[in-house]
Amino acid sequence: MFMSIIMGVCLLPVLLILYLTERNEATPKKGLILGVTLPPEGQALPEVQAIVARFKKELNALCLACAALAIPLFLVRGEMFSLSLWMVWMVAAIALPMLPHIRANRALKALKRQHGWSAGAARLVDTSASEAALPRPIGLWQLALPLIVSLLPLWPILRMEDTLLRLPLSIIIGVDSLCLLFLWACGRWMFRRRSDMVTEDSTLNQTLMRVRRLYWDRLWVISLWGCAGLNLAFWFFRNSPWGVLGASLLFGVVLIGAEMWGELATRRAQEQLTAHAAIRADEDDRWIWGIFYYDPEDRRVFVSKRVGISTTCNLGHWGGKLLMGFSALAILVCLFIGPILGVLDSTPTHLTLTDTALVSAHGSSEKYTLPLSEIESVQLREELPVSMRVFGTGMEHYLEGTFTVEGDGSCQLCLDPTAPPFLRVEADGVIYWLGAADPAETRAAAEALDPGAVPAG
Amino acid sequence: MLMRLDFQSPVPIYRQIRDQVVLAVAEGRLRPGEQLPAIRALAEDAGVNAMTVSKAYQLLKSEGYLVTDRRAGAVVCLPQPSAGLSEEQTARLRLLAGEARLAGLSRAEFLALCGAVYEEKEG
Repeated sequence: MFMSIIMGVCLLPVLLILYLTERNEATPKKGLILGVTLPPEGQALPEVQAIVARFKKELNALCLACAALAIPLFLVRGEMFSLSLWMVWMVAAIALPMLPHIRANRALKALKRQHGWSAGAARLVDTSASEAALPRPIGLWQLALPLIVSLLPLWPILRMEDTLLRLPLSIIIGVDSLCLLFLWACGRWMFRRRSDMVTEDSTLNQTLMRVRRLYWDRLWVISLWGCAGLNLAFWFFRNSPWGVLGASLLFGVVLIGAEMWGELATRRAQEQLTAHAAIRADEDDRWIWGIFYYDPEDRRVFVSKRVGISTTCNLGHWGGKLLMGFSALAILVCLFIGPILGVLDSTPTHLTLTDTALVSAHGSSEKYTLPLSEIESVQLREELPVSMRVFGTGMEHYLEGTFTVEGDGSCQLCLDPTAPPFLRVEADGVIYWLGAADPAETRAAAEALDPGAVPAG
Repeated sequence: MLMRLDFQSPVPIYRQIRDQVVLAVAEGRLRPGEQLPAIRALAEDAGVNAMTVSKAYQLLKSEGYLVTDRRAGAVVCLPQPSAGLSEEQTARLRLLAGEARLAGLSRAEFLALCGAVYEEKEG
């Protein structure tokens, strides 16, 4: 149930976002309805209106069906099975709302051909849209402050005495700070692209570009500060799993919310600015179903989408094909996350004693090898104290990595929390909590290490 | 100025860029002193190789329609009026006249058409 709640909170908004953006495609912007460029007289045609109405009806029905399908998922037992079903649901929720769009796009294109509304396949470039009059890309100073804030937690972390916590926390903060640099570089790079050259009026083209760039600028700044805030939250809530979860969710909500705000606000501006403009650009032949850009003549790998602020790949370019392939693969891999994690979760942990060391393993993979000469104390405990993951794996039947254990502080764990007893071993100044899926294996290891550690009977 | 690049056309892209700049200058859509985008920017906007744009700019520069400056970039200018058409231009006109004749246009019709087009350029 817990897994379903987490997945529901994370994935149900995906459906809502897709629904809102898809529905918005039916409102004319830059002469486009559902990815098809139509003249004003064409947009008002009853046949076009009928296609749009059918699209909305089908979209409503499909999105409602997807939402309804999510309800039984909350009742599914077993975390990994539930995760697998949610992933299948997610792929369906991404793919299904596209179907009405594809159908409507094809119908509108056929109608366009029938009426001879094509404006030609020439590519338009407005040489008068001055670069100097456009907003500047995010500068170094816009990166500096959030980067400093993001790196602030490193100061207390590097002074921590707890060496087990120092490394993983430093890695988390360091990786998040690298994300800031990556976002900033993306922001600078994306500004190279100019688009929205759709009318004869250079001022209007420039205004459309200004709108797109302004929202992009704001989104980059929000993302930079979001990452910096997340780093601070990781430090403040380092002892509270709920705090970390809440901060991560808030980060996601802020980022997705900002993206949606930028997307819809840009679309609204495009709609208002081009409501009465004579559109000269017609790239319909280069947009498959109005969704995927395909132009082998175009040397660009990334192209701006015609409405909104998003970017997509050029499938006519090998780089675009590669990126789109990876994206498709990433979505498909999601389907296998549940089974893969299921296998990981059901693989038993083992404790083996050799002549020289105590070996803790997960399946056939050795996790910790403690030389017998370094072992200082051994205790067999029937209960695992409350523990919180800092770095590693935390599953229903498998805990492995660095954890904060109540009463012991930072410890290394490799055990099945549902299979007591557990072996608490102190070796070379580090506390280990180990255990085998088979309790007899744990007891045997404890007895061999220190017969006094095993309570009589 | 709105440039149209037709990738289906047999005319090379650099030639299309050159022709459209010349036409825009002749029609007054591009005025002397007006700045054209930098080579990289125009290549990025048009989705073509920077070398293609560079070739077009070089051609325009050699014909006197463009001057390049380190600070201002590519700036439009009017070429020095010459005594008449170049040999290459005369050859193109000869070809066009021949094609008009083969298309069935009379001398008067062809001259009227030339006059109308010339008037368009005068604004």
